[in-house]
Amino acid sequence: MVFVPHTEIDRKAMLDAAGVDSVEALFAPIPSHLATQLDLPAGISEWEVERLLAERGAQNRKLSEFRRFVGGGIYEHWIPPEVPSLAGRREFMTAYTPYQSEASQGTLKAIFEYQTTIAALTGMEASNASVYDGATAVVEGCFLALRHTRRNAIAVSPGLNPRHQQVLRAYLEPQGFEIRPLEFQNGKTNENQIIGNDVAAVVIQNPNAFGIIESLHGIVEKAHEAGALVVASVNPISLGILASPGEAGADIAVGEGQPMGLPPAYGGMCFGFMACTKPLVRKLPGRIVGEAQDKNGRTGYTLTLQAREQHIRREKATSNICTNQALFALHATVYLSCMGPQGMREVATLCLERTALLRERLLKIPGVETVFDAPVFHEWAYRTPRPAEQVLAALHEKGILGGVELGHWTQNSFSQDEELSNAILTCATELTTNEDIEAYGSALEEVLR
Amino acid sequence: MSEALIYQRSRPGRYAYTLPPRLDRERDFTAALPKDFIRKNPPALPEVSKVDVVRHMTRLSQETISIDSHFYPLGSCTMKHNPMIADRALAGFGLDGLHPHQPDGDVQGLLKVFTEMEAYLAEVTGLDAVSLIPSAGAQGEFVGLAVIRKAIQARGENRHVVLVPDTAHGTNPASAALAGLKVVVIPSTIEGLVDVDALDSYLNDDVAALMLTNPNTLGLFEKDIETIAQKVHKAGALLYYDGANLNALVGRYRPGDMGFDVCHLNLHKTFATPHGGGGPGSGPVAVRAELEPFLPVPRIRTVNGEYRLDFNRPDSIGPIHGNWGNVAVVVRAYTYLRLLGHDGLADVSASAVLNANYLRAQLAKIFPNTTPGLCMHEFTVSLTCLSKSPANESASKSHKQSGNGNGNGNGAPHVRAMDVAKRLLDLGIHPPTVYFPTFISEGMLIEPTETETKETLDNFVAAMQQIKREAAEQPELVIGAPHTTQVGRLDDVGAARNPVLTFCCTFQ
Repeated sequence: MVFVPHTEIDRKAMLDAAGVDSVEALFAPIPSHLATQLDLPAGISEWEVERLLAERGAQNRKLSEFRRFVGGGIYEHWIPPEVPSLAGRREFMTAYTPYQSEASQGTLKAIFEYQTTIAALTGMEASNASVYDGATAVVEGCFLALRHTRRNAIAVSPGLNPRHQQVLRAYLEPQGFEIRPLEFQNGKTNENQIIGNDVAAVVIQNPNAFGIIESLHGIVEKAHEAGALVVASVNPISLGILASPGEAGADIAVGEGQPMGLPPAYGGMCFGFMACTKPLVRKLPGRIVGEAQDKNGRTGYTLTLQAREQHIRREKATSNICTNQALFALHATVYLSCMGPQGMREVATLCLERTALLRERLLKIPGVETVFDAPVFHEWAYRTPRPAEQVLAALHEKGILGGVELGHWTQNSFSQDEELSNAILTCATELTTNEDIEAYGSALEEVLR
Repeated sequence: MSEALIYQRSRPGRYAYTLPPRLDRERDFTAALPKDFIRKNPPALPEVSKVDVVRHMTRLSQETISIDSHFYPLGSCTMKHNPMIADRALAGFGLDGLHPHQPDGDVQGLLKVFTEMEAYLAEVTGLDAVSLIPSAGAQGEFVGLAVIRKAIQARGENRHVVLVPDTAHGTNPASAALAGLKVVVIPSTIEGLVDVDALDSYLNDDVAALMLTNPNTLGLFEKDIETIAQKVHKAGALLYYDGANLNALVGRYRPGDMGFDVCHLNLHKTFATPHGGGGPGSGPVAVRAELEPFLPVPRIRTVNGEYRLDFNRPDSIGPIHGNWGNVAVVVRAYTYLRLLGHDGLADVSASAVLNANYLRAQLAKIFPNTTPGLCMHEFTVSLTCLSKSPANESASKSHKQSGNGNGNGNGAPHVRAMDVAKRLLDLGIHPPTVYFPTFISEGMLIEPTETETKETLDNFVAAMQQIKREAAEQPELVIGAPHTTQVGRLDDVGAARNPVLTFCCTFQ
């Protein structure tokens, strides 16, 4: 096999040194009747495997074949060419977790920069080195709050991504924690509701799952009055113009990092970012990099606060996470370095503009109406007299990915509502053109005619 | 020359992006938003040019040791070569351009890869059904244990204890706690295997599962695994396989055949996907047929010859990820698996075990406390012999200045496993895992993997021999290591006491 480098002479010498006469003899500690031969295809060449993957890939219909208006948690933004080229360097890609700090300063500095950019973007004071994705970041945020407050309930806005609600349930249920919905009207979380004093955290998403911009200030005040923390799940691109969780007084900021320099990739190149205020730092899960000095006074970077982690604390750890999404966090670091504050403001402004223009265009069509009348960032929900599934299928035939079917997406979540049965969540970003918007408009006109 | 942080290159007004123009230059949509929606202070992100970003990141990559640059025999981490064909095949597959909200009909090629991969991993593990969704080994453990918990509840039982050997990875107990289960630690024999006789006294009606890594964290095969499985099953509990060490067995032996009921794999270990400086990984979970209904949603089913995602699974533990987990890792692992095939996979474990045993035999000549008999894919060395180095006045003095806390009270310096690890960095080798498993004093856990040549292993042996000699003759050289890196040993205690976690802020 090509990745095994031994010549026959090597193999013989190595077996001799190990004191056995065959490779089979090395497996002597295993009961021999357990040996088996796998029923798998035989190995193939690199060229054949490349061709095989190309063949499988050809059975997909790629986004580039469509005009697309689909978000729902995963978004298509411009990725500066530096991002994949630099973050994809094999020195970064094939390194392990930087436990030997002296030999891993490059990775460690990159993570330290990542933490700094995420803290800056979210307006928080500290960040970890990433978790699996936006959904598990919400989960980890809630666990942090449950540990910190020693309470047993989480109050969730129905504006939280419905899939994230389900993931939260899957994680909280085994330990018996309660999840309950916040009051939610006209597509927004009610800012003036009373929060129970058994609530560890209020979880609110901005912009929410319907694209609507939430004002966090009111709910933060109510939550803090009740002694609860606020977990704000935010879209990182929106933070170029929208109030940051830190400015709104949230305690923990989380979110899906994919929009920052990563492709949609079927949702398979995600990472969760997670930042918090100073008092919570020692309860933050996951790896964290800190500055340190060597004995000659040189500054370096190292994994720190490891007393929180599973390899030290075992069942009392703040989380079981060890492997994270470091390489994707690195993509985001390069992305944010390219964009800077000015680029983030600009991209957010373009998203806001295109979505407003898309909304204006579609609302000109008879039968199209807005589901919730409120300001949106880069997603907007509309309904038509026809079932959403049929509308989306008809648009698909015309080469348009029209959006997310809200009725289906919100099933088994607090977001579920009769109102949504004919509703479609559309999305526009800086990559949406006038031609795209016009094509969507005329296609939808034909579909509804 | 050490590269400074990118923030130190930042100058107000620089930028490194281009964006398309506004479509409507008349209206200001931001100004139309309510004031309290708007950010007051712009985020303090770097303001740098394109050249700055490129040079900075290129230099950081050069300040990082990786498998592509160095031998990396990190025990329990399986740092094997990551085939470059997987990078190219992934690009050729076109994963980047697929969206999770596209209709199932648009992603038939991907769902075919998933379906095939589930079947391949079921065959590799000797189990019946696989979920590819868990993002890492730790999430696989949570899923596996949550499935067990749910299956036991469905039986109408109230078992809430997970047995974990004292040799287990720390993640095992942490995952059990997350799954709402209580951890009870079971003792090992002197050789480090499960104490089969003692096991009986731990098995009762409260026990949901026994979690084992096999080979265990010492690189030893649990030779009584079938007896253990019988006892566990007889007690009404399930047997969980932590796949961290599957590289020793892959293609030759299967957890399912040994009696395991649930198993997670680490694709970033056994299936050669890159570790990414800490992630992403992928931790698929395989189970026996009767546990399949409890696996996370979505599942894939075939309807009229078309693959469809199925969310309607009432017994499922629910979704555990916003989408489909680390799909890019799964596709890379699929590439690796197809490239190797059944024959190649059997070669993986054979050569992984051969390399480990060769290295073990060579090191045993230098360090008496090396795993004595045959090991599997990794083995331990205890370096206590180095602390018996002859006392040396000058070394002792220089050692006191270094303030590392070594020393045996008689003025003679102790060379510890961590010192050896750091000295290896000077010699161009990434050190093995140190101080794990914890009960091996001054322990190193060494896993060479199958992709290393005999010359690389010989070079490692020579380096260890040299360090042993240095420990006797000039211990300060070892205790003060590393000498060739851009920073020396960092003050971890100080870093944790007074954490500086971002460029501008210090926390008390």
